[in-house]
Amino acid sequence: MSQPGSPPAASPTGHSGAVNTAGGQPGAAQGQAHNTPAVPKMVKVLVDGVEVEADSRDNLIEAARRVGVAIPYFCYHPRLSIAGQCRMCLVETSDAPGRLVPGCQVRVKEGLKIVTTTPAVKDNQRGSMEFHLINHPVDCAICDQSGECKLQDYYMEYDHQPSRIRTYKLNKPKREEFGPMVVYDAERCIMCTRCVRFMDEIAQEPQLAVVQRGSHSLISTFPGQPLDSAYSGNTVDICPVGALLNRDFRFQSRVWFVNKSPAICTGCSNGCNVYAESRGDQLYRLLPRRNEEVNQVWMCDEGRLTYHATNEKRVEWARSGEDAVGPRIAIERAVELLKPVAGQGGIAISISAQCTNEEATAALLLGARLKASKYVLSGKPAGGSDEFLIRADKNPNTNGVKLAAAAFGVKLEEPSALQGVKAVIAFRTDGLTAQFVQTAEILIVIAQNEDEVTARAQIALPIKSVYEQEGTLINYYGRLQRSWESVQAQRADTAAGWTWAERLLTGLGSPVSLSHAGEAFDQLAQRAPELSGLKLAEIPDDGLVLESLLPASFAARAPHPQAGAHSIRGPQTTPPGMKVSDEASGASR
Amino acid sequence: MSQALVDLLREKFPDAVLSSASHRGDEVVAVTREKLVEVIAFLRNDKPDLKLLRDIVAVDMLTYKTEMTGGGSISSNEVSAYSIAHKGTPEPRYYVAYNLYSINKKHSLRIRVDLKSTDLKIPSITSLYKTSDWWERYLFDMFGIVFEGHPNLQRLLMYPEFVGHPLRKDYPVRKRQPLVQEQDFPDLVRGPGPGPGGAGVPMSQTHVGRQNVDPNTYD
Amino acid sequence: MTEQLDSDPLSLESDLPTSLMTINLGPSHPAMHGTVRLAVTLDGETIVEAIPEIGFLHRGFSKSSENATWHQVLPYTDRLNYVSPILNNVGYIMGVEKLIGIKDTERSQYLRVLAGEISRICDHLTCVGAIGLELGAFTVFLYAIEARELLWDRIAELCGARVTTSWTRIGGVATDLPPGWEQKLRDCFPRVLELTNEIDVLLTRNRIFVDRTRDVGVISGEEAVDWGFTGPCLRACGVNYDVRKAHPYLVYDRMDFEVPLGSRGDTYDRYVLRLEEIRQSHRIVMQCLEQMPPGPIIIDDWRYALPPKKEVFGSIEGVMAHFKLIMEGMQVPAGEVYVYTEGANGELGFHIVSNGKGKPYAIQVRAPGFPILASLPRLIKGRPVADLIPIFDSINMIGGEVEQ
Repeated sequence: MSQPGSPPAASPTGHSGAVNTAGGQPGAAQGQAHNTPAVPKMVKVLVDGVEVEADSRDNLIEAARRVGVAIPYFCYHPRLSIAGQCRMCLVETSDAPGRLVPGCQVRVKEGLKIVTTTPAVKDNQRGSMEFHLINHPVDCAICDQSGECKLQDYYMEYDHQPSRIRTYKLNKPKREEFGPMVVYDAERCIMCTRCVRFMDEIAQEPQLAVVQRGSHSLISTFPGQPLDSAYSGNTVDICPVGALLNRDFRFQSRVWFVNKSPAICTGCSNGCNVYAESRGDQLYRLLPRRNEEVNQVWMCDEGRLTYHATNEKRVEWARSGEDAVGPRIAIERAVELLKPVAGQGGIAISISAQCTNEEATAALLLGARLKASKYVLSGKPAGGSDEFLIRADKNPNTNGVKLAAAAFGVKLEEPSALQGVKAVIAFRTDGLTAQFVQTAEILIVIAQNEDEVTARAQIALPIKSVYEQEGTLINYYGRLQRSWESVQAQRADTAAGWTWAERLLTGLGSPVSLSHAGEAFDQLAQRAPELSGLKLAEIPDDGLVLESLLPASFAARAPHPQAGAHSIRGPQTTPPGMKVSDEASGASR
Repeated sequence: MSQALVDLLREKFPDAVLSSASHRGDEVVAVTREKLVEVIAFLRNDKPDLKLLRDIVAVDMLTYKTEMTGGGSISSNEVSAYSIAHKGTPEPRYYVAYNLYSINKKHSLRIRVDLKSTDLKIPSITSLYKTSDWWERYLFDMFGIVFEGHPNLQRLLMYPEFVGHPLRKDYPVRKRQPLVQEQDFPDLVRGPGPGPGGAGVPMSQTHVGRQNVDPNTYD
Repeated sequence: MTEQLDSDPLSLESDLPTSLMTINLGPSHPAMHGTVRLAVTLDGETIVEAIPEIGFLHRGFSKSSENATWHQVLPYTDRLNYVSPILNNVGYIMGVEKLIGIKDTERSQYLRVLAGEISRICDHLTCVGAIGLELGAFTVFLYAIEARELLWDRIAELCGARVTTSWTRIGGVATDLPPGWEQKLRDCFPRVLELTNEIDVLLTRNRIFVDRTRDVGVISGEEAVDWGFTGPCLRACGVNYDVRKAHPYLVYDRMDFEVPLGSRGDTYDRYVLRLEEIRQSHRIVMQCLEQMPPGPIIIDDWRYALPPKKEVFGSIEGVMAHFKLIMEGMQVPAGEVYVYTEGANGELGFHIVSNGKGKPYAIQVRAPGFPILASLPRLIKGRPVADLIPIFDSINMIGGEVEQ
């Protein structure tokens, strides 16, 4: 099986050559984009009487999207090949007056007039909806998709009437476990085949297929081969209805109760852009967020599960020994412990590569005040990798911590045995062992999750997870990315790493103002030449490549995956008035 | 009917009228802040005879364009940190609208003044309409808009110690307010002395259970 | 000797050494409807200054509404003027309908007028009863409350709740008249009118009542308009402004009724006017019952009106429409309107801004009592403290709407 991300041997779809050979369309694009990128030519078309400059590779849907005219579709996806399954996108064009043509399959050409408002188009939209709903079960109340379901959206927009068809609904399998992450409900499926095409073309592990015929058709896995691809979760995202569901999120929350906020996945050093969805102090799921130069609109299954560390086994209360004494007293006691040894040498600061740049900066500021003699870079152990989105380094910010350390002029060491170290202050404890800290007389941890190190700590201060605070991370090729505060309710005593450092520094009598992430970032930007003059608020949504950190293999600044490797050019912005839940916004659904 | 009023205003104050619009039969005229009092005085005292000030309204346009809909609409009670930090402030962010009506002539007109978030000042019209007194206090309370020349610009519905302006779109709907320090006055019944309610010891300081709690977390 | 007496500060003839005294009326005072505090500065018996301090009942109506779907705002409107909730329901819903650009069905228009006028009678009965009560005529209060209960029972049969009705819907109303309800209403009205007449007989020519209300809290028509008065308080000053006549909405143009006007603008006029309005509202109710056509009570457009329950539970189309309307709210086109109806205490205005999403972007309510309460210091100034109560009663301040 070929690695995901590499060009397929042949176009996986069997569509007519007339579409594919024109270049730039999905399917065709994969074979051609790398070698002979089609020269984009701008053509003028009229969408409902409004003139628009469209790319000659655009289909009618994308051309209309440029002026904010929404042509509805289920099966079309800007990054997948064209199937023409759903018949929802039929519109009229000047090429075929009086007839309806599929907006996904037909490409624009100079002077083409597209009309989406004629009675024939409207009738077709209503008719299509009616047919799609014939066998659809009355499931909204128990369906995880409801609230973000295309059937619901389009029904209200294009149909909003009772059905004229009265018949028995077909019964099909309701709960097929496709694999570790995906469960399938055949009754809800509208046979758009997006999932099949995704597995073929993007994940490049063809694990799904359509079986049976007509209204009895279903999506199925092959015998003995579950849907166990590392990218299987994406099929759930792109499923326009509630047929494929994420087993991790299933029945956990209704989607309209969660708050969606942009963040960065902390699963590995790829730094996939995500939306984190939360309610109260709980995270519920991560969804990929569009970033052409990092993850396009996809993410891996492992990354989807990283939010669990935010919900489970947290250090909740500021502790002194085993007593939850509250932040103020914990800080007082930590200062009592540190004051005698401050500046005496024998202090080690351990920084995890899971820390944001701001946390690392705060740790280094604290270390500078205490005149720490040793700095340790800890982190999660390396794991598997592939050519697409999964990196071996399972820490999101190794580069950032290294950059911060270099900016402060300190050397980071491996977490090995400590010699002559009296006190250890650990910012996040990932990868630290009890053995590592056993010689330390004073152990202060600022930790997110309970482990053997936090159990031994004299003082344990609960730190916010990356999803709960604002911060920046630098991915494996030097992309500085911003993550926002996604979880709105505060969990117990948790505070950001820089807040703890600020309080400790204040207690030690040399206060540094670190009241928000921006101030911590400024402290770093003052010292790091790579970031000089940069403000936290100035970092764009999709990040910023720090040229000096680019590895040699990225000589030509080729992001990974390469932009357009799997995709045609999706629209870059959402025109005003369009629904944000669309592919155009960056979410993959 | 009201269109005639708009035309009259345009003719009378060509440099004050910025734009006019009509939506579902409501005529709106946007005027400059400098000419506001003059325009309204004309509308009230002269031929238009708009003697009744129905109300004064303010709207914060911060999330007008960016507010989420769809599945997130119910949950997005809070404007996320991302939206506020990132999507920027539309300027002018606020507008104040005056709904005027004429009982004799049965026509109405809305006067609208745009306000930038950096310069939240607007002349008061308390000299023209007595009823504008409370409406202006209300808007000062809810939006923090300063009505210059108002005789008594204090909060109306909220208490004086209230922090923030609740109807601004970046005021979270579930935001909690800091505890108000109890005013220190002698207990008339028990006389001065220690203990809750006694002179010199505010109640909030005598509550034992709150001592270990970080005051920063109570906002 | 006498001269000596006169110059003696303790002499019986000399002026008493007095100073201004500030007393609090409320926030919790039997005569303060709702919870409002009046800081009254007295010079002996005379009120020098009275500063109303409101906000004790503030619930954040606007803020709550901005965070609820269009239909979810409806229960909040019940709690504005909780004595005549249906008038608030109607006012708000008409604003949303104006934004969308739809009209409700003809039957629902009659139903709205019918229930609204019953609400108005209840409101006026409460006001009149309270004036009586607080001037010592407890009987009047009991009569008024008995009449109000009769009508509130009818409201409860119609809406399922006496006060928190939430009865209107966008494009119509929630429920049609229950079977036999019309007859019940016709049966109870004679008693309501009889009680109203009893009140009339007890109070209107009562020497004590007239002395305490005549020429008390006088305000001229012009000044009242300046203060933003509307409704009975304005009409008591002789200014003929009733939204139902000036800009007829729903089916008020088909109704035959009079708008009573006062002449002096005092407490007495405001009382008499409310009594007369009860009778006029009764006329409207009776005409509604006569004229009301059969037909649907809500429009049949699933984009705005909830589908019938049979469809919701039995068909995917119904359940989808239901879900979208409940979870996301209907999509009201972007725009800004000010819609005004005649509430029980005057012009009830809703200023609604929509940005095309499922929730109101901004709502501000023009509660009729708000400007009237603002004028209280003006009405009261220079009057003896005993006049405060009848004046305060006659403007019928409702905490729920004034303080939102």
